[in-house]
Amino acid sequence: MTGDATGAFIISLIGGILMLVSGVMSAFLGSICGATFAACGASGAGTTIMLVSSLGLISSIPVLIGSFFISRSDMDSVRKGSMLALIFGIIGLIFGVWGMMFLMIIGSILALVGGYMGYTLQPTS
Amino acid sequence: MASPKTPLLRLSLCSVTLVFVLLMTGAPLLFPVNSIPDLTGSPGIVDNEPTIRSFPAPWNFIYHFGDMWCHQRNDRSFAINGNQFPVCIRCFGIFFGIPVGILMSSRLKFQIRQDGSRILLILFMIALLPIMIDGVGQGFGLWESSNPVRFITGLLAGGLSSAVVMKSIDLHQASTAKSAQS
Repeated sequence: MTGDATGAFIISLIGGILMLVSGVMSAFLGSICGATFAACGASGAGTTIMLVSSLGLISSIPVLIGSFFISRSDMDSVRKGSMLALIFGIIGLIFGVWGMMFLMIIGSILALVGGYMGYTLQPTS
Repeated sequence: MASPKTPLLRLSLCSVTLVFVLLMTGAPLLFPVNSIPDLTGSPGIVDNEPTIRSFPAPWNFIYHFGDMWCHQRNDRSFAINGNQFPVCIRCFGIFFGIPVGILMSSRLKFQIRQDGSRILLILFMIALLPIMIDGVGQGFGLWESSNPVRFITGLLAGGLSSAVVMKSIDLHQASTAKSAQS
């Protein structure tokens, strides 16, 4: 049995939701900007903008999956979920800083905190 | 279950966020009257780089942050001394709500049974639903929101979200302490 993973679950879930919201918004705006740049001939810049905004969105999904793993009762699932939240929290943080997406940065930090809390959770009995 | 004491973390987070809010309020207050021009722009883009560069520290930092974070529309921002705040009213509500929520979370007590996570998730939904409904409705042109509504929805989002996060940290610390005892 694990200790109470409610705290880690909630924080990583909130982090994942914030990352998802930020990712959807930036992917929408990024696709418009990227297409405009590409249409103007700067296809490299357009591709970079679309890549950064899309990868931010994609990294939010494993964090959400990880948070649901954390909510399970066995220690193995909690560890796996925590690792997912930690790894994709770092990836989200990198893309958040790169793309100046503050909501993504906040979400990634919360995902990292939730992942750390889940990973350091001690088993009881 | 009573909330376990996490005074140092709570105090540190509250202090940092409160200083941030004070900087946001202090900037327009301490600048000469009508010295900050219209900063209207887009979020995620630095629109007013030359203007902000001319501001002294730490105000240039706080206005630079606002420039990247927020649209800074003049008609949707508070103003003191004729000087616009670094962020819009909704964003100011969010940032103002964070230290309030952190402080209030120490007073938030409820019985943690099996449904502890459900209560926190419901609180988080209550925090985000008003701002989402108001923002999305306005974005699709269904209605035009007013400044008091923007401030209240921002305050709810910032305050309740930070309270939920702090309460989750409390739960984790209680769980860790329980595991160490057993």
